[in-house]
Amino acid sequence: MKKRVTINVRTLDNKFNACDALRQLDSLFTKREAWQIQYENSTAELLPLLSGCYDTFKAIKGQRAEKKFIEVAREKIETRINKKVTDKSVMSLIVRYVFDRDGRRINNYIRTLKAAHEEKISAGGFIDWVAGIGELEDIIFVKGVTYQTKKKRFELDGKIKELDDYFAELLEEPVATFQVNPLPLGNNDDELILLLGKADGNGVINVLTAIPNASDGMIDSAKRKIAEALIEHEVFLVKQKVKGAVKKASAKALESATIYKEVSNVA
Amino acid sequence: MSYLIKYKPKLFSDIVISSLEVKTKLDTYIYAGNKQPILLYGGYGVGKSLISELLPSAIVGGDAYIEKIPATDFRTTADVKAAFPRNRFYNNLADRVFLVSHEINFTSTASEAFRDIVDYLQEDVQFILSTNEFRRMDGGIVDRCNAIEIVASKANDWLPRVKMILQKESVCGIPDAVLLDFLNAQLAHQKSHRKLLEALEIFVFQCKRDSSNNSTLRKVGQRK
Repeated sequence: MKKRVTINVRTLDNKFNACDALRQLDSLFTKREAWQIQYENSTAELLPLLSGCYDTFKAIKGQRAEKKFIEVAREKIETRINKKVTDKSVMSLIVRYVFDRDGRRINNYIRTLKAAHEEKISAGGFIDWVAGIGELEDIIFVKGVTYQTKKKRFELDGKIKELDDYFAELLEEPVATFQVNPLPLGNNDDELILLLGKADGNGVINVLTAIPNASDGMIDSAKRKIAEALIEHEVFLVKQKVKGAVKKASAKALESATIYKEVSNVA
Repeated sequence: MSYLIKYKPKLFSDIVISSLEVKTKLDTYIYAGNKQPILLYGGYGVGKSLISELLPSAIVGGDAYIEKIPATDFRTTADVKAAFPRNRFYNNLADRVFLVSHEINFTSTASEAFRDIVDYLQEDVQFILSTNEFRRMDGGIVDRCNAIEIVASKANDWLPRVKMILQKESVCGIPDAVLLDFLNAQLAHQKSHRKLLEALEIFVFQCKRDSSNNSTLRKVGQRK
């Protein structure tokens, strides 16, 4: 059974000020350091930390002390990491204050907390909200994304599904065919194989080797890259087509245009 | 002078609007005394700001008392309260006061405060808000507003206005079908009225340049 740790954070009240918030964050920062060493980043221990960040955010956001808090928190982070912080968002500053400089993860945490805020989760309700959805990763992937990202993912997933047909088409006229005997370790005869090649600068690629023991993840990642490139190419073609139509229509209109003054001159 | 300024509509009726639904919704304000706050949303350059600028005069049938809220990020309740003090009596200023804002952004706390302001002032003030970021608007504010999506108008609806502009610029002789193709292509390329006028300005410039380069020719398009 998962052990649930709760961190008490003062809830919203009128007397809550920037110092209170920073004190809470300092306490969370210490706990975060312990968590990173002792628990080796286990999610069970991470949730109370995020919940603490969320509760602090709820307490300070929209209060008179918010501006002061932003100012002081930014200053403290800058001193700690010895780097200029341009962030103005309270949420980002809180997460950065507690989690220091763990780049990619910090962004995921911020997205998660933003998702909770957008769903109007009250202070103290963060852990239950996460539990209701599933894992923290689910929230990062599903909840904390913009409409544009969702749209992009949808397009990409659709394109990846089309890839099998695309590969079957390419297989009829492959770019190059050569015999490799025996196949490098971990590769089967009838499966997709990743190759490593080197370009010679004149448009020729020298295939060096098939990548041994390529995992499904590596194949999926390659497929994703191919799908992205195909989408980009399709967008480019559509843009070219539209631009071509604009040029053609302008030229045609230009051909038939007459200027009044010229008409009167000729007459 | 840029065509955006030179040919900027002076009256609400001059604005090119294709959507019948949008026209009907806006007409309820002009002819039926609707006072629900308006939230215009849509892409760049489709006429949201122009509508919010000219609609008040159309509603009152003359000069309207308009207060513009500058593009602002309202972060806290205090920010909203400072911008809309409760003790300000809008009903003493004019029969109908219009509060117009382009790009108004709220944090969720400030949104709650603004909802309160909308409820409080609604009877004396006609809110006309516009935004490019509809998805980021607070649900409570959207719910209080008559949210109207403004999209780029169709080439057919632009045709009379473009013909008028060309005539004023002394350009003639373009068959309607050719002009429609030109407008359709431009609008497919960039769904923005601003960009359409920009393209038209370049087109007229090309016509005049070609004409002066080859002044003995009657047809602009006839080249050596």
